Amino acid sequence: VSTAVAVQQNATLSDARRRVHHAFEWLAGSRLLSVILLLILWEIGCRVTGINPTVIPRPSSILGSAVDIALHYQLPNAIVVTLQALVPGFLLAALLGIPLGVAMGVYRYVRWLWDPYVSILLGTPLLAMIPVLVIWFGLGLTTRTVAAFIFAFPLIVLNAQAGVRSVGLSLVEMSTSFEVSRRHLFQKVLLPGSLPSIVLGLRLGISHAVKGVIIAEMLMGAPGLGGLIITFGEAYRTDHLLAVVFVTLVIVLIVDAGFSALHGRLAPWDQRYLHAGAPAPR
Amino acid sequence: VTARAAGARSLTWAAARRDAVAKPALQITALLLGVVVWQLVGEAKPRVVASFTTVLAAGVQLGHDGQLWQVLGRTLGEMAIGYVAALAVGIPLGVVMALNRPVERAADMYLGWLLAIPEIAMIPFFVVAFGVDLAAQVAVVVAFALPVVVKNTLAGLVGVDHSLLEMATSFELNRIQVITKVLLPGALPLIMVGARMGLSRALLGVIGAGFFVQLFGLGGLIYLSETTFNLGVMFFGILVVMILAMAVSVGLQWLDRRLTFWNKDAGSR
Repeated sequence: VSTAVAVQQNATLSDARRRVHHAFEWLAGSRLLSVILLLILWEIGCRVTGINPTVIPRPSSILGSAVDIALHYQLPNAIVVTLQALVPGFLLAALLGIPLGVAMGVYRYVRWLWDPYVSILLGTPLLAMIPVLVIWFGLGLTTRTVAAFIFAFPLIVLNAQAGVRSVGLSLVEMSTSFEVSRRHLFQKVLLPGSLPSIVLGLRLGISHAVKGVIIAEMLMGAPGLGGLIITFGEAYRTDHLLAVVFVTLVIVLIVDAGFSALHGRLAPWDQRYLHAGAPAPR
Repeated sequence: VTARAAGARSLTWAAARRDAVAKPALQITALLLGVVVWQLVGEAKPRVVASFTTVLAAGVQLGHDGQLWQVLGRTLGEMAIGYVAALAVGIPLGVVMALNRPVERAADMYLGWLLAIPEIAMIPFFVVAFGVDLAAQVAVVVAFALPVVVKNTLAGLVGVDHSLLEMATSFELNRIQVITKVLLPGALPLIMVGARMGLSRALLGVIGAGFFVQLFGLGGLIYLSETTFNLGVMFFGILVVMILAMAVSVGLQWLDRRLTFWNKDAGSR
């Protein structure tokens, strides 16, 4: 009995040691630690060089600004205003873009017809189109929603189409030779096969849509995150400005992680969800 | 070859030939139809859409009084300075980062973050840092182009085949030789991808800078014509931006194919 206890003690001891070791390893490779180190270096650099805090603010004052604007309701309001345009615009893009992309993947005539237009949308710096949207839809919520829509739409269409076309011809041929009905072919073969790509399109689309909304807000001086950025820029409050930029980044990263998790759940075999990947250059 | 097989082949050939005619026919029709609709809408609602002919007339006018060349010169000049600076800084930076293992591991996350930030949101920051000045314009272009250049250089170098590095060691190449003879050529396809994405983003940057820093270039032209409700000039400016974007992407694809001729799928990436 005593040996058993000794063995058990030994096991717990080495367990503890292993845990300490793991913790140390985690800390060494930790993203959190690297971020904290970088912030400390930034803070020290600012204090030592005595650089003008308007040009490069200290991280501590950026953090203070973030708390300040969060407490005084500017930031929560701005986030709500931005989401009011982002969510409907993105949902509309998904609602129209996925069927169009799938149809383009299945029917070549649809593909031929729409391909030039999708390529134009994909190749154009959409940023340059936002002034047109302002003229068409005025200075209200509609313009910002449409901005989210046109930034997300082409990426969603492209990836839905690529998803359908990535389903191997051999699979489709096999289904045909087993005399699967068209509906079944669509439900059991084409849709599951293209799902990972569709989710990837949604993921790229929404982070692109955030950019569209923010540019529109900046151009229109709307009260969202983009408007806050312009206001603080004009007031030379770089600490507040960078606080808004970092909050935006955190929102984008959270949404991206959500879609990445969805991608991993729906299609664990598809490794693309692991990589953040550079979004398309537009 | 049986008659039946020959018949089937000629059938598929006929189908292929029919497609080869049908595809461009359908696409050209679709585009022409688009232009016709554009023209009709423009004539019906001139306060909303500048018709195709109005846009062309605005372009001819801008070319005639020289404003177009001035604007184009400014835009392309700022873009070129910023882009070359981004390449000159970004590629060496990527190489140095790739050679340092802890830095390389940490860099991936930060570069991903830099790419996730809406770059436009940083423009007011550059205005504060550099003033309403050419320096701010160029800094914006660099800020847009740099992250993708560094990221792709880094990915290219990290992805170089390990057996090549082992061979280099057994041939006793020194560090500089390893970099110039093995690592850089191996990374070239991805470096070119970075250069391509960087140039597209440099174009975005110079237009964004035109909106928010100085109203001189193409971005400024579009922005000013929006505020003065000059639809013809605005649509023409956007058309020029589209053509520039297309020229940039086609030109760099061509260069890419020439530089990395051994890499068959370089054009498709």
